[in-house]
Amino acid sequence: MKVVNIKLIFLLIILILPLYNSVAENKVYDISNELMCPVCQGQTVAESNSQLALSMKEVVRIKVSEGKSKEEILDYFILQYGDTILAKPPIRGFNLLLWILPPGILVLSILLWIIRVKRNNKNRNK
Amino acid sequence: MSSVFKFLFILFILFGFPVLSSENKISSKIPVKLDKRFIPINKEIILSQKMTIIDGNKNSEIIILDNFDGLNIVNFWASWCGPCIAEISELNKFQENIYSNNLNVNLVGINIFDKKKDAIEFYIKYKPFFRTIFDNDNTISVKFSVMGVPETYFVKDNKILFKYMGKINQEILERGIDESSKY
Repeated sequence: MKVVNIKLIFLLIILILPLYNSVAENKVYDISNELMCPVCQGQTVAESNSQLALSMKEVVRIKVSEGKSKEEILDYFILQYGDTILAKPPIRGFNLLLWILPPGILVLSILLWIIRVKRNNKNRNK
Repeated sequence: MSSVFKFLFILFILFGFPVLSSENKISSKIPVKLDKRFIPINKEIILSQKMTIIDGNKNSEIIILDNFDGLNIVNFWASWCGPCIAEISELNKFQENIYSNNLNVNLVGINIFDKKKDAIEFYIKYKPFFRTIFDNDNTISVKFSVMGVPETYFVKDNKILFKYMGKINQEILERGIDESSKY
């Protein structure tokens, strides 16, 4: 009976281990995908095969295995390379303009267009 | 025919020579703070992991930046990198300078972005006089925020003061030491 139990536990470990690894690798991919490769053009660390990106992926992998959270890992990279390392710039300071300006310009353009159309209509009616 | 040579000679004097000699002229004239190849960093670095010394035969391990109260100069290189090969003789001369003038400077070379086999071959071929280390776990480059090779970091009291990007020479190293003394 004991031998059967040990075999069963062993089998479970064999089955669960790849699943655990794939969960960890997914987390590594997710985090790497939020980091820009500093030496590539418009590629994230997850997408890039440059030597530096491979090193960065390795650091992410080690930190994930140490049980660090996504935020902690991203903070570590911000400390090393600055805010520009993030694929999505944080919504604060000067970066705030990146988030406000495009929709702001769009809304303003629509408003100006509406005003102009209304004004034209008024002029026509006169 | 001779007029062609004369013309080429005049062209070289006018354009070629100033271009070839411009690197040293620029580097000696511009103050470190204005030289774009010197990047200020001011970041703490603590290295606790042991790293493998490349000695061609046996692997011994050390913790770099440890037990040294002077200035650490950390040069990052790779065997496939042309400027890294070109700067080896300069670094060797500088290491001799450290020995002969008893400077309080520790020069370390760290091989990154490379295969260990290639790093050892490089070590045997070019024989660096200074301590040369292999990045076992491929993570040291991130700890220093390295962007490429060659890069040289000036580290004092576990703090990275600044780095120099590109091929280094004795004159630049001396400028780096002078600048480090201000910190």
